[in-house]
Amino acid sequence: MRINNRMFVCLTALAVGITAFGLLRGLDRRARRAAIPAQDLSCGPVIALTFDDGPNARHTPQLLDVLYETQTPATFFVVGDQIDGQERLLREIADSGHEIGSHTNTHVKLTQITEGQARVEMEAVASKIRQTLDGYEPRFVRPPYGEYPQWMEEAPDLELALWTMDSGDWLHPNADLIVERVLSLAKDGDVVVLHDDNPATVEAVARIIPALKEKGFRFATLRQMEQAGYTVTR
Amino acid sequence: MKTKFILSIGFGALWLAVSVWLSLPWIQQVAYFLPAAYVWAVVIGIAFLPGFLMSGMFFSNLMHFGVKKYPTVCEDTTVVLCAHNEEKEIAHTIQAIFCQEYAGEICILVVDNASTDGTKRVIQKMMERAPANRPIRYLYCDEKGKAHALNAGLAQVRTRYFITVDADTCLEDHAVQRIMDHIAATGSGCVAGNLFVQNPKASLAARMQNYDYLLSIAAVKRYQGSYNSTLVAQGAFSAYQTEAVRKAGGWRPVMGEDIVLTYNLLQTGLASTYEPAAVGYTKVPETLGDLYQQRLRWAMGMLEGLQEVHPWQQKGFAKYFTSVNMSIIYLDLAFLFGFLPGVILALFGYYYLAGLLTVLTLAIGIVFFLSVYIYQKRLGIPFKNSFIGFVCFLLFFQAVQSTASVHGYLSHMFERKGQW
Repeated sequence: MRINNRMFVCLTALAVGITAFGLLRGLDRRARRAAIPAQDLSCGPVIALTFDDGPNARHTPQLLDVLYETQTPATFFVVGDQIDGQERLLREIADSGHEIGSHTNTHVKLTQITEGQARVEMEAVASKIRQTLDGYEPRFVRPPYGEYPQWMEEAPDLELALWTMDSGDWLHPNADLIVERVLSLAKDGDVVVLHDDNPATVEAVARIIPALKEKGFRFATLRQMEQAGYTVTR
Repeated sequence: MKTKFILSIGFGALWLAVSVWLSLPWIQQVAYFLPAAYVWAVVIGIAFLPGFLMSGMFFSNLMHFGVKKYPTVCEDTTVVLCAHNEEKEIAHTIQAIFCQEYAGEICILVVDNASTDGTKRVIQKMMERAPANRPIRYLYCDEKGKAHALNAGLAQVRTRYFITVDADTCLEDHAVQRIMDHIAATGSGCVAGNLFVQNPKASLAARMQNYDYLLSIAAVKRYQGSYNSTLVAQGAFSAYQTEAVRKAGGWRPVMGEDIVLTYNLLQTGLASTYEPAAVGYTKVPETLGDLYQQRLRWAMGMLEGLQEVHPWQQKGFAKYFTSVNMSIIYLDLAFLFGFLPGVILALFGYYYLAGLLTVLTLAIGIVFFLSVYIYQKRLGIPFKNSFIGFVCFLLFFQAVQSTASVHGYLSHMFERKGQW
């Protein structure tokens, strides 16, 4: 190959490499974010924001950005089927310092299946979480729709974590309505259920957090809340 | 013709609309991780625009699936064969012309362009063997450059039509008959022949080019030819109306002299068409370096053509096709700086620009190529196959093509002189 041509090929390869490197650096910037530290929960009302049904490829990253910018820890109850193909996103959730809980593998109504099937569901999602997050063991389980059979309440190996406040984002995916509802009902010790598959939720959370902070609220994951003396499980 | 053209554009537009609709959520997601303008520029360049163009071409070629047969002619014609140091190849080329199944006389006008090897000796030997209806005339052109040689040959053409054949291109036995039938019946200014690769097994580079000629180039020429707008009547094997070429001023001394001539002929309102059944087996570059240099020249030629005759100066469907030609620059840049970085990102586990959809696109491409392959096979003219060649063509050829093309564009823009 002529020298000129060889030089151009090398230059082009370099330019392509630089482009790829630039893109990787941009992508890596998210992964290199420091984990959100726990807040001081000793002074002021405490509230836990929990997000069900993710990780969602489109909206979870936006939500993570909001939580990062406001330095707000949260809890994500993930669905096994949603993890498939979004392993990187799940890692980002964990690396950001948020807590991860189980929301079953296929978002099935646990009251409509047998105990054996339910345990398979929960083991499946737990296994995916462990595999993706190098052995991370999800502690809390949130049954889809908040419905669970009696045996789950009595099972010693399951820690059911429901909510005290339903944001209503699944029913009325409207940011104004979500914000109004949460701000008007929020009280010390609340566990708020939201869904990170919803653009209105992302917009609402971006408004809720500063508003609640102004009212003196501190934010916590479920585990942090429990350590501070609150009851988070059934 | 107009109806089919509108239908093919319509199909392409429909494909585009569906592609945009399906990919919008994905683009919005990716645009969250990568710069939005970059994502849009890349997706347009590697998906939307190529999808529109390829699907329109595919649909049009489906509508023109039959091979037209024209009334048989036997009027005398001329083959202009330019040679510069072609002692190894020229005898085969001339022999192939001797063997043409064509009733009329074929005057073989060999223009020796300042050869320093034994080209003249070989030509003289062939002159001794020439049959009566295949006389050879030897012409010497001391001004180096293919355009000069061709123009010297043009000055000596005495027939209504003439054919150019490269010194390393062997014509299939019926090639002259088919191309003459075509040009005589249609009155086209020029007719491009169908080039197959003569040396497909010579190297990996040759194996890849086998499929470039067989599938890509043939499909594009067929598409353009269906609307009388084949943008390149390649010098390796094409037929021309003698007077039309003279009126157009012959060949310019540029890198892409055949491209520029075609553009000039189109500008006069003449048709430039394509005859798939007129096959020439051309020798392709056997090394990556030579292939790169060839494609660099072709890219320069494309810009020379566009500069010589701007798209808006063209007539009829040629206006559309030359405008589309301009977009190739964008496609090449998007491939190099969008798709290739996307592949690198995929190696690191980021499937934002190259991923499952890429595999799907490859599958669609294979379906498209299969239709072209079946068409070529139905011509009944033999060609060789190579599985490894096809795979490498699918995976790697575009990288060579786009790099060389961008080099060519920049060379032309910065007025660097190209080299053969």
